[in-house]
Amino acid sequence: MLRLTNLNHDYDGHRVLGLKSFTLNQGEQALILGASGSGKSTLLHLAAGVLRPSAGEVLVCGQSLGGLPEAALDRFRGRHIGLVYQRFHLLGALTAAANLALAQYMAGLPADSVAVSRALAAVGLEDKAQAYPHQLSQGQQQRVAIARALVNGPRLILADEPTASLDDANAEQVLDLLIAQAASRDATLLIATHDARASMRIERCLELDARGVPA
Amino acid sequence: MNLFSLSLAYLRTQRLTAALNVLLLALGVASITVLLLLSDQLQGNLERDADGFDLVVGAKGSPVQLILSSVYHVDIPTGNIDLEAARSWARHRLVSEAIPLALGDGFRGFRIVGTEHGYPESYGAVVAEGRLWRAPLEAVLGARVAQQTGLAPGDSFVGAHGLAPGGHGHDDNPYKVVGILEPTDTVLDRLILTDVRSVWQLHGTDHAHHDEAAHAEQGDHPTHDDHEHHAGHDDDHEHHEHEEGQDAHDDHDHHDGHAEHGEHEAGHDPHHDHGHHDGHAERDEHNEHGHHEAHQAHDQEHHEDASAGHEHEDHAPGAELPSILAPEFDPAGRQITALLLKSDSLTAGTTLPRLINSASNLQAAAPVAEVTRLLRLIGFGLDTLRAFAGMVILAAALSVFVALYNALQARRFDLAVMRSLGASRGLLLRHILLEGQILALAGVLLGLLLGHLVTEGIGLWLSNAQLLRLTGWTWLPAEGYLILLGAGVGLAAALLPAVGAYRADIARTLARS
Repeated sequence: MLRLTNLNHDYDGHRVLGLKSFTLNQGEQALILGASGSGKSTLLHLAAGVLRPSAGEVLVCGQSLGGLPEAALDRFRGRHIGLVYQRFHLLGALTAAANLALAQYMAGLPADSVAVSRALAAVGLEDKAQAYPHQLSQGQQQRVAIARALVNGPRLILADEPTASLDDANAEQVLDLLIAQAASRDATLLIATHDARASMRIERCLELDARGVPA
Repeated sequence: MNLFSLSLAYLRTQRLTAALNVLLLALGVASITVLLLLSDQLQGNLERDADGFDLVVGAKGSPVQLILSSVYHVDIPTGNIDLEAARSWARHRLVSEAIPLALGDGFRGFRIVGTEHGYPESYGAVVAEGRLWRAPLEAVLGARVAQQTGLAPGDSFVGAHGLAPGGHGHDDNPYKVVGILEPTDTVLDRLILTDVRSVWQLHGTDHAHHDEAAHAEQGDHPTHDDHEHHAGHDDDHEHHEHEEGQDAHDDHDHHDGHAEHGEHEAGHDPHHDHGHHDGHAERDEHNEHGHHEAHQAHDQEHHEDASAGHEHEDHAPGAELPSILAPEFDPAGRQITALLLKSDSLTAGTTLPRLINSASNLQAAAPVAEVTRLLRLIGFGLDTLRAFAGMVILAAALSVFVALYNALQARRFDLAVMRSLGASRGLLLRHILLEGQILALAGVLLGLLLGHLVTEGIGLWLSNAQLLRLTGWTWLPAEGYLILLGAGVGLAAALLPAVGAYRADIARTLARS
């Protein structure tokens, strides 16, 4: 479950986001739409606790992120929130499997190679476990990134323009994976995008205008 | 997955840079290691070789040269001294023990040292095989000499004139090896020890009277002209040949004629002297001309009817030849190269040299003082080298810093992703610091290994030159500080990049993607 209340964020003296109330129930899926610069990424970063809001509250699975000290917040994010970015998501020094193992380590969870294999299998890349990112196509890289977001069994999955650098076929596949995997794990899914293809798949939609306010 | 394998994975992606940094640091550390091992062992060698000898008395000249030639056996001697003059100091009340040295010959680059049993005993030498010498021309080999020449007890060898290899040989008077010493890790290992009388015998200086014919032509007094004679011949010889007895004799031939004779004389002289002295006990030691002449005459006479009964085998088995420093021994006309003195007195090191230097035409030098002087000079050079090595390490630290700093720029997004995966700021700090530590530790360990290998290499190289005993297979406590130094370098170089990682604004980094 994700609940955002009276959430404001200012950047360099400008209001970049203003949101009275937004709630997603556990397992619910939604899109954030808006032109670039409309505060989509800011909203995701606030929801992930990567960014602290200027005002307002973020509640994830009943936990107020504002009430957590920084290191605890990092750990909470590692264990309960899966993040997917547009690109540069994988660590080039590590293999696909090691990228997933890193997510376990960073979250302070014990190494679990079975969970790693299962997550890679879920995105159809179990045979690429030992491949380095530069040996994978962009679509494959994004699927590994999704597997990494899934490996710790998150309750909330946040994706920032996950299909923006992909061609149609790959974008379709990535979107399918996100929706299907979130649903099968009963994880809440929030995707920031300006991709029209996504809005045909997910009904609930939060549209932000240029001032970061719901249209 | 853990922080170490993560740091290692990143270093692997920067193999070349990492390898260069490790190498740079290793070179600096290796230089310092070599300097540490070198100065420690040099000092240890110098101190061990001089241990126990408070004073060296020799011919006037450079005190350092006297010490180098008589204690370390690396330089040529300053000249010879009259046994009679040296002996008076050996009996000084401040002197507890005196050991004569007669140098002049060598064998395959190893020095033959005419001395007494007290010399190897001073180094705590133990006979490994055979026994110590009991007669002239019996030789005892240092461990290294035995090992490198392959000589064993029972073998014979011919000493070469001069200390450098290849001098003309005393073919007619071979030495007989009677013993080999255990390694002492001192200068003793590369010496061939024999009795002083062997050197005299080979060089004929104990036969002043044999030169009578030759010197008579010059109008010289035959018996106590050795000094002038020596000086007179200086010009005719290579400098390095101004050693015991070498003043004498281009016309070595007289040897051949008297070789047998010499053997006799060296063997039974002490006996003879003994009896002789009994009759002249009250004689002033310094007024011996008359006595000396009488003695010489007697001596010769004695030889004329020399009997087999006076062969050196007369000595009780195992007994050393009587000391040439004993009052019974007639010193007239004999020379030695140097006298090593020991003293129980704490002030002897300062009192005696002043006394000796002013009261005689001899020179006294204290090994400890000269070694300290030498080490100070070397120490200055070592400090300079150490400063250079320090600069290499500084350069390595800078290079590691630049590498990590650049890596930080390239890895900002990776670090932000790690944060989003749950890594705390502290974890990223440690991650970057660890990378610096891995580089530093690899550099230090490689440097230590390199330093020890190079030192061992220098040791092997010097072992051919026979100058300094040096090994790389020893560990100094100071090297522990080198590891700490390396850790400090790694920490200093990684600190700024690590703090950068700690303070990175991940949201802004991620938003820039």
